[in-house]
Amino acid sequence: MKDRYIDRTLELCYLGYRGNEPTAEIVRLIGECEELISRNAKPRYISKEFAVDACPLDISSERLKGHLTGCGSVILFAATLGAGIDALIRRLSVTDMTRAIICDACAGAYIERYCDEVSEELAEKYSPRYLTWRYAPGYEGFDISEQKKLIEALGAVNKIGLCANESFMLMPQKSITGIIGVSDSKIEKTRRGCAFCNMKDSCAFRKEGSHCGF
Amino acid sequence: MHSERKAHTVDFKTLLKKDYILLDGGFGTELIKRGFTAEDRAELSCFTHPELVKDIHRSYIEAGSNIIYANTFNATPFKFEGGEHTFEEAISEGIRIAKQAAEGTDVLVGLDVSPLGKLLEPTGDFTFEEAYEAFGKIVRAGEKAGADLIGLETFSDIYELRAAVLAAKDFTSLPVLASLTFEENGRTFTGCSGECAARILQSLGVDAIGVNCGLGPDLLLPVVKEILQNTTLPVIVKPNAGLPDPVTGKFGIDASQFGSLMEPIMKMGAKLIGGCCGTAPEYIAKLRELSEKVKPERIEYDSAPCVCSGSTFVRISEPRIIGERINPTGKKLFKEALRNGDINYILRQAIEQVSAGADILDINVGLPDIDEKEMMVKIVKAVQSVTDVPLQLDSTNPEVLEAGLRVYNGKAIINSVNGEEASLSAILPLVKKYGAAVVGLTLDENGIPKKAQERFEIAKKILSRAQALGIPKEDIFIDCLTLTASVEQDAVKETLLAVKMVTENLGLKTVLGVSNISFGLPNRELINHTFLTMALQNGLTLPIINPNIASMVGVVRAYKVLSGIDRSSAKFVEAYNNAVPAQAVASKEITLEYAISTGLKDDAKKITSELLQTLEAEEVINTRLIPALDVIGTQFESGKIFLPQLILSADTAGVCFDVIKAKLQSERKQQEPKGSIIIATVKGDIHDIGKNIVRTVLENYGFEVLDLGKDVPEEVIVKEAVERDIKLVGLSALMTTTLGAMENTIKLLKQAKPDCAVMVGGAVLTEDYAEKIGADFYAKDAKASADIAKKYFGV
Repeated sequence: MKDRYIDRTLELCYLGYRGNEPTAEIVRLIGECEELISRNAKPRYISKEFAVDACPLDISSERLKGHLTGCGSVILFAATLGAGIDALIRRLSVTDMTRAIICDACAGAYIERYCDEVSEELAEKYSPRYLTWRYAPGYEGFDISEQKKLIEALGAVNKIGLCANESFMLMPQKSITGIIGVSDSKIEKTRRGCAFCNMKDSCAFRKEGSHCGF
Repeated sequence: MHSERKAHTVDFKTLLKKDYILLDGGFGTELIKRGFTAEDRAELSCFTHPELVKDIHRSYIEAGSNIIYANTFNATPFKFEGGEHTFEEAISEGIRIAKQAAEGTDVLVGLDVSPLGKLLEPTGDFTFEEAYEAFGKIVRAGEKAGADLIGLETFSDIYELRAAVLAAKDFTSLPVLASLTFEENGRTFTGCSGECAARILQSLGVDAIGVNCGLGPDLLLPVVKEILQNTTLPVIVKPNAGLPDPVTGKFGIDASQFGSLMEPIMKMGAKLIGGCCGTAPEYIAKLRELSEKVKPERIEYDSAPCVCSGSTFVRISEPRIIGERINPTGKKLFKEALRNGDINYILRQAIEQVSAGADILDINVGLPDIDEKEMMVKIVKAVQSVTDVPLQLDSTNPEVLEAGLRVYNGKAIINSVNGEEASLSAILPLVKKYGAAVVGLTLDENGIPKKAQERFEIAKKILSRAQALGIPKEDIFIDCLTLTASVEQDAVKETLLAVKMVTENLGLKTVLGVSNISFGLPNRELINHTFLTMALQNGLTLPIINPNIASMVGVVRAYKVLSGIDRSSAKFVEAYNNAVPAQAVASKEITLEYAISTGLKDDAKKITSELLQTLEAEEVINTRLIPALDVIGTQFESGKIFLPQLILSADTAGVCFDVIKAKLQSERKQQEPKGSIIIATVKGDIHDIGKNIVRTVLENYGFEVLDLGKDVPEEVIVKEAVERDIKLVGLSALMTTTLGAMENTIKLLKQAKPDCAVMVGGAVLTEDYAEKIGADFYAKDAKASADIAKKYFGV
């Protein structure tokens, strides 16, 4: 059965194919790597609701305030594919770089799709209230240094084995954190996209005139 | 009543005489029950709510607890960093309040120690040594404050728990109770199973082993059973009151249900019983009631010899292959890799052997001109980060062995001790301290005895000396020593006889380095695998072989079928049924260029070998390999092919380079590298996939690459560049937060070695920014880095 978090289109995007077709050999390798990721991923997440004024993170920027307009509380969440994926990519990086980069892309897509499902699950759980989309530390107006506080507030280290280092990078690597606004009234869809991203000045996709699909 | 007993009449050892020792129950949930709110910080409750804390302790003592854990969970240096109180104060307050609560009773007070809230290497960046140090501070503070014992609780990572246990044993004289948190699949979320946990902890000499938190008693039962089967130590079980309701957060099991679910666990032989989240004094009272009527019938301990890593358990009740390839003896390329710090070469040897069928890997990094101790630590850490088979640490130097044992996340084998007095007295205490298994060589001051009987006597001596130290018999493996058949033909049968005698008369498992047998003979493989068959037939369990030779692994697999170990030949069929038939494409029609561009590694290898019969190595590189890569590179630049294919081609060219290297090696020639380059991901930066891509491409353009890894401190990069006189350094950074480290590295590098150029790359970098931080070159991708290197070295 196909794993529902596998997303070939997003994987190819991460691998830089920009709509081009990979060769048959690469397609075969991608299929194999998807299976490896499927087998080694242990996706899990935690989330916790805070009243906006009790939120332990700095959400005072205009951009974040805008994102959280009308929200009485926020959900902090953190998700990870676990240390097994890091170990797999580490092992492949020694013996087979081609599979290593393909697995890296597959795992990147996998955690995105997993988080989409988590978002849906949360939306259901918090219904009839409404949720904003997830906003991550490092996006505009949400300092990357909030990463540590977010991890701390969730107790993510002991609960799902997720930690941030001194440079606020997540460990295990295939992990996503963020903040989601909770509102009693319907939320107008704001545009997600490059403007919010802190990578926008140096992003390889943008340099090519493309985007990552976010 | 417990509270009427006299104080301090018992210690932990006396308590162990009881059928059951009652621990306490949930603490956090009790705080909340008494009006503590989520805003109050639990780790500060000893300062903010001392009476309330004491009250909870008292209620557990009244319920029947023999041991209470002080409210010191989370009293770690990191949690208290920059706060009003230090963690030492929190510990001393916590212990003081608990002791006050226990005053006038013989209840013991435990220092409750939690994980540090850091992620250990290899997934995280916190080192084993740092963890050991932090736990050292915690346990010393606990002993100073007067704790009666140390309870290490709620651990998921057995590596972190190992650090805590070692610290507790090294820095205090208190009993150590260690428990982990398991999930429904019977593993902790870092992948440690009950059997691995039990073996590792038992080997370190803790006083009790067990489980706490996570699940209710019903779901914990299977893992408790597994632990009981794998240890002779008292077993701790502190389950939650079931699972919390996802909406209300309330736990589902009440005291009486808890009791009925704990009853079978108590019957199985768990001695230290209590509760964790959601359990309350009435749960402990229920356990006390049960403890008076349930009689333990402890399930049997499995004394079969075994070794394990943090996640893989290997029972040595049948032949297991020890891979011998991580050893520089007689291997030029390996020696070179050790001297150049080429860890990846060594890791490839590890992974290759495991894929080929090794169950255990021997690790020997002894070379006269390197720091063997430092290298052993480095290689053990690196190997256990890419594979999870158990390791055998191989050195003649006890210090090297000890350094390796400390950082090894598992129960290792030590290779080796022998019958000489000096060896016995240096090695056996290490075996005991780290709970390792050990290989005993049947030689002594007089050398290797000729006769089997004499070797048997040495084996007996090693066994009795080990047992005198309390080392269990099953942890001794005897090496009856393989001599070379071409020199001492009659010695072969003595070795085989000794194997038989040790196996049958001492009941010990045996080890043999097999390949020694064939030195000086043609067709060594034939001799080796025939000898291996004979040795297995005589009882050999642990052949040390080169698993990359298919016929050697094949002998072991076939032996397991024919001796009835591999039931229904299942593993044999699995190994050989799907063997891929040789590629149908005739290699004649494939060119090297085609093989490289499409990633046909086997063909590329074959064609390179053929070309080398008529062409010089340099010629193959310069007229065929590099031009083929150039074509691929151009196609990549123009967007005709994409990253995976670029790397696939580079990887394939890498296979060709390996063939060339081996050929030159056999002719005692060396390939002149086109230039030596250091690459590293800067300090604070842990994403290294981009750097690894660059490594692959540079290596396959013929450059010698020293890959220093990720999160590399500035001074390490500078030191290596200066010592090795490196003229080009490549640095990678992914995040804006690590660009400072990159800039600083460049600055220090330019000061220490002005003739060294720096190229930089990584997601957040731009041409302008590269210039601004003083880099000489900006590489937008891996292909660009190869172009820069080619131009820089003029090749």
